[in-house]
Amino acid sequence: MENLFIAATPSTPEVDFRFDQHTLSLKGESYPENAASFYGGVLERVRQYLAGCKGTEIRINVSLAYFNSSSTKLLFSMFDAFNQAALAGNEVSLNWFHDEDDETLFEFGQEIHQDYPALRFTDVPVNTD
Amino acid sequence: MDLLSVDHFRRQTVHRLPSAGGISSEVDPVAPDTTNVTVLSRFARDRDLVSLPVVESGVPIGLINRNAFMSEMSSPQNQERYGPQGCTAFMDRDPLIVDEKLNLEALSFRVVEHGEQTLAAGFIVTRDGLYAGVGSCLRLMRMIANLQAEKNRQIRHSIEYAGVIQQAMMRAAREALAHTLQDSELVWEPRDVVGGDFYHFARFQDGWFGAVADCTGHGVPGAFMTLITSSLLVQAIEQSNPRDPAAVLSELNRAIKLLLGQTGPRAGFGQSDDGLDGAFFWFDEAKRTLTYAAAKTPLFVLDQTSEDFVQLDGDRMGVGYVDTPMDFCWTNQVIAAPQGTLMFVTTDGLVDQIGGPKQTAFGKRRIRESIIAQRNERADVISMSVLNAYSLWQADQPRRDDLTFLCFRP
Repeated sequence: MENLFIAATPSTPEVDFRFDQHTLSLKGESYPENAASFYGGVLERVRQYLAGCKGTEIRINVSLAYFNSSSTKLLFSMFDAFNQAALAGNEVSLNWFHDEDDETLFEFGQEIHQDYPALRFTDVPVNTD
Repeated sequence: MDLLSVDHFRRQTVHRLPSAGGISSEVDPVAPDTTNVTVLSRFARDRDLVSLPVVESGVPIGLINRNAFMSEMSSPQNQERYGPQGCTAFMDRDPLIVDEKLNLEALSFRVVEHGEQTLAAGFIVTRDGLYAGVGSCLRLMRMIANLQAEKNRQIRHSIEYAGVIQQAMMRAAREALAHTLQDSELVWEPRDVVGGDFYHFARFQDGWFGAVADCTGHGVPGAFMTLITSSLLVQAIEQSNPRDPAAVLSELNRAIKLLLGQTGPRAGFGQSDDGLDGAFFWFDEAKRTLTYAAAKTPLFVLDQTSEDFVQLDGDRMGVGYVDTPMDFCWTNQVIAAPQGTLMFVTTDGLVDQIGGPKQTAFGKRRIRESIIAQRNERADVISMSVLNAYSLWQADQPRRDDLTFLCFRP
């Protein structure tokens, strides 16, 4: 399956999904005017990819400094798909990167951890001083 | 012209899309056997002539650009040598040729594709394949800039007026709030003139109902959602009971799902999946208790005797969305609110704003700190202190979302 790369813009994140290496990374900020149209295609590709995974070790890196509420809903749909894949026998780890002082992002990560318990969640506070 | 026809005329001119023909001028063309001496004299006579079209039996075959031509003919030797010859030697044989009906947007793309020479020399305009005039790219630029400014102006005015309507919709609530809670301050700042944040307030005999909510989206789609929510909320309060904010949330959830057809499983990405997060309140004036029910929107309560805020969390379930069950029940929490208790509720626009030295979220801690520093002041002073801290944090970062918060002592 072909890899998916979408360059970042001020209001959309960089999508770097290397399906061949089973490493999917999201980086930047997310507040597009139409979140469904941005994430629709991405989610479609993720679902296709996950459908072909069996006992696969998948690594997800998320480093988002800001995301609005409509992006949040679509990100949750994606995490849900990963969670399903983990329940289906894949080893899915989610690395949640954020600035060490950013309590808002830390708390958000904790929510994801609670909501999607099949994912191997790692909180990664980053010192950017 | 009477008023009606003036208006009609204006409408016609504003909405008629200008085309290539409209920005060209009829330059008298030359024939291919016209000598370079004649061309030279045409350029010498008419200082504003940028390009001279060459036309054979009505059909354009090339364009002679002043600067290119003059540099070739600058030396006396060349004038002597090429002067008597036909003018096709120095003409551009492949100028941009467009039909007069081509619209300006398409035309500007053609100009850019055709390269730098076209920007200087301009382009030839034809009517039914025959020469009709020469267009200048400077004029094209000016038209495009004007059109752009006009479009922006129309959109801005449209949104500004939508803002008037949106604020009118919430005015009654704002007045009821100011009248009922003397020590309160509501800040409502949409990011883009109109927005998806929303508040409601209504006074009853035995108490008051209040709501602060954040509908999906911002800008125009967000504002649509606030209009829908506003009228459905008023109905939901009538149909259930303002003293039971959890029931109001449930009623509103059902109403939004039905109205937007968000009842079945997700049909695809064209389907709407919209709703709101928010905090709903009922204050019982006799018992001095506050009943709070919320969708992902915390309430901060600062007791007069406590060091720090107590944070109440609502249910982690949005209202109206496709994934929210039709019969979901939110939870009421009842707290005592003795005189002097300070309460603060905000949408995520305040908490999540990026800024500071490392471009991170403003966060709840800084909100709490700026309130506590002013805890003995009136709600409007406290709100100002929060807004100041927020602005300092935001600095030159663009605002990410709408911002609404309510600070009050019931």
